[in-house]
Amino acid sequence: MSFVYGGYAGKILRVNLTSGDIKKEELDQQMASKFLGGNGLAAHFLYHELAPGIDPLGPENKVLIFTGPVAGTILPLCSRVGVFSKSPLTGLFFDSYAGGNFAPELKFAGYDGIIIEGEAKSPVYLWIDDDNVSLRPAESIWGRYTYATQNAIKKDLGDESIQVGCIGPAGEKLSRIAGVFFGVRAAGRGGLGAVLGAKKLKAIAVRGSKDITVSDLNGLIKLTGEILEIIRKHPVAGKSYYEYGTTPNMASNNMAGILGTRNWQVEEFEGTSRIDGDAMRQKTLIKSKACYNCPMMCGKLCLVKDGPYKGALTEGPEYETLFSLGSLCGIDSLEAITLGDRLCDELGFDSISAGAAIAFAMECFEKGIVNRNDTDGLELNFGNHEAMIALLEKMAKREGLGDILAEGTARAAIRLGAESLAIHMRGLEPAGHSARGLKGMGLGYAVSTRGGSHHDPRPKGEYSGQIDRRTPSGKGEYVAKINNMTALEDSMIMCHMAENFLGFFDLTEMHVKAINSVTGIGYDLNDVRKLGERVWNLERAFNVREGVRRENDTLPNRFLTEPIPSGPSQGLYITPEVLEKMKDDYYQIRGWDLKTGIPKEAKLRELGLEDVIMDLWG
Amino acid sequence: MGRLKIDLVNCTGCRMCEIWCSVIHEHAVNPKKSRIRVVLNGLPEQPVPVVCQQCKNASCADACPLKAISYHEKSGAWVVDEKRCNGCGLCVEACPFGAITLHPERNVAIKCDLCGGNPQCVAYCQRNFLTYSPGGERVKELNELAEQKREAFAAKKLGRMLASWGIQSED
Repeated sequence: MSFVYGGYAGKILRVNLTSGDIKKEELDQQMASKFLGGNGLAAHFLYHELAPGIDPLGPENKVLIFTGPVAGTILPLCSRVGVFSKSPLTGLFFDSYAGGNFAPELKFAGYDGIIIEGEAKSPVYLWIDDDNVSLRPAESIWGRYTYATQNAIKKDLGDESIQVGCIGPAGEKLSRIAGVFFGVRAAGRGGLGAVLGAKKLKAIAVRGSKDITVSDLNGLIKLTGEILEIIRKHPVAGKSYYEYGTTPNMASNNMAGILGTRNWQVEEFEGTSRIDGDAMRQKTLIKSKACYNCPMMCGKLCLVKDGPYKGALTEGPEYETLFSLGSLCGIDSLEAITLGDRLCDELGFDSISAGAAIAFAMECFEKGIVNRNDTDGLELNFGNHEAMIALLEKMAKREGLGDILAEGTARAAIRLGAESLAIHMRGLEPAGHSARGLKGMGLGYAVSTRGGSHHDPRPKGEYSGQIDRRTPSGKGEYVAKINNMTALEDSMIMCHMAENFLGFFDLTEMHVKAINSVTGIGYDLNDVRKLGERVWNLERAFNVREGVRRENDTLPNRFLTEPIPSGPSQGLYITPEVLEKMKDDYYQIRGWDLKTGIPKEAKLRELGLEDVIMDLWG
Repeated sequence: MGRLKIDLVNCTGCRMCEIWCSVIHEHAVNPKKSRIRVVLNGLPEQPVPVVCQQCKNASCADACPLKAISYHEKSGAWVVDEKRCNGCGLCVEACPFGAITLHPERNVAIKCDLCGGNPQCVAYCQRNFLTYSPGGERVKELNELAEQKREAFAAKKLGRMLASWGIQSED
């Protein structure tokens, strides 16, 4: 590889769908060391290339599909690809990631990332075969489910080993909760599938044959050996993930009384034991599956073996989907959730947002806000799994109530006049980690770039008991450190599950060694912390430019006014006063203006973001 | 003949065998230069690692006009002598498994050499789904397997015959 730093391909592909122009640009060395890759580089490009106020579904928006320097090296947990754009769900900066095999293949083909611009006249897909890149017609696969799309492209190109990222019918129909699918793995969140749908880009297929080399191979082999040894001995990373994946969160969160249930009206679910990790192992599990080069193997191939959903085969459902299609909808049929998981992937929905939107609709139904006429006869009570499956299909077809829900909970709530029941932050439905039961997550969601994402703040520090989940004190610093960590890992790009053996809330010398052996840049721990902080502040600057201020860093009404009504966490919630106090702490540590929540000039200067100062402070 | 044995039922498709093979042999990650290749079939992907079976009568070695593929006693592997190989590709045509390929840059055939008796794909298989049995052991192992199969086959035949006479066999 010719790039000055190891790990990088050194090239970025820029594809303009309006003109059909395809350009290969050199990766800038300074930008690489300043923003690393993935999230960092994408924030840099999107901040500088998107004018504020543009329509996320218009041709002016861009979609970036990026890897990072560690992707495809021998370093484990580094198979992730990121999708970046202005989100049609939040109207703000958004990043979503998927594992699988796509990221290394893109590096093998010789690219660190792809920038997609404009809008095609008719459906196309992008075919990247090493140096040969072309746009090919996709009329014949437009409308197809994601598995069929990928299989058709592999057949069309005559090679099973090709990796494909694509959208399903949901993305084509501009659902704001549509994701992008790589194999069976989803960059689900934020509606980025709709951005590709608006651009009429059905898929990206890639095949590569080039080497991925690193700066210090012997050093990296040694470090990788150490990491593999740590994982092997670790009770979660080396055992539980292989046996159960992320499903044990169901039982543990239920036991703590912080499992989102029936649209977060309560946080304990009586049906948990029928849909938790043990139920999966007894009823549906076939075997574990891994992303590229991952020793943890958290994927679970599952098959419904009997009953009305017999034959449903899927990789999953993992914890978030068990929560969203399960407890959040009051559904205790593992078989229905397994089929629902497959349907979300096939139709192209983010399973968290899709489940949350259905749960919201169920509460509206039970409260009489929508009735049987609105649901085309569906009895949309909590627990009705047949209605859940039927509604997913209506959402993909954009029929009736499904059409409204495909816009996401926030917009659906305005349409239905049920805003007090809508659970979202900045428009993004939260994942299965309680804002009321975990004060750090509560603050984290409120100040997150993305809104209800569990990958800006992380819940594990509080789950583990290392951090007191019930007190607001110290949460400002705690959340800020995690944000810097996740932003840095998303720039490498390394899976956040590394937290299990690298620690829950701060960057470590292990991160530094990994990046240095791959790239040879020679950072120290302070440099990588600053890099994460730089990326986070640039995302914030993007959002500030779109109008985000202190008052927008908030939580859904339910979490601010209704204590958890029952169970072991009964009484917990975040009053507006507590939230404001935690925000003060957070802004102070961040160097953001207390009144407005805008990063201060001194902070931006310290982080080398001088070019942002003019935009934010005039 | 030494052999790599693959537990297909449990293989998770992490591709660490493929990754480490190319790193050990080529000092770079590149599946196209790996001696073991993981084929990912369909969706959800069903992984099938494919690697040289170290056949007793190796058709690749027979096909080689330059006698560049020879048996390595200690590891139980058929090994390509890169100094002799001229990249003609007859071995690639001869292999029934697609387990021998031409190096994309250097003009030589590449195949599994069992890393001289310490296969690194096995060392890095995190769940021991890939195992290695060296030459001598393998003969014993295969013959034991044959014995088991023979007994099962005989029992089945016997059971059918007894059943046709209306006699229930004990198990």
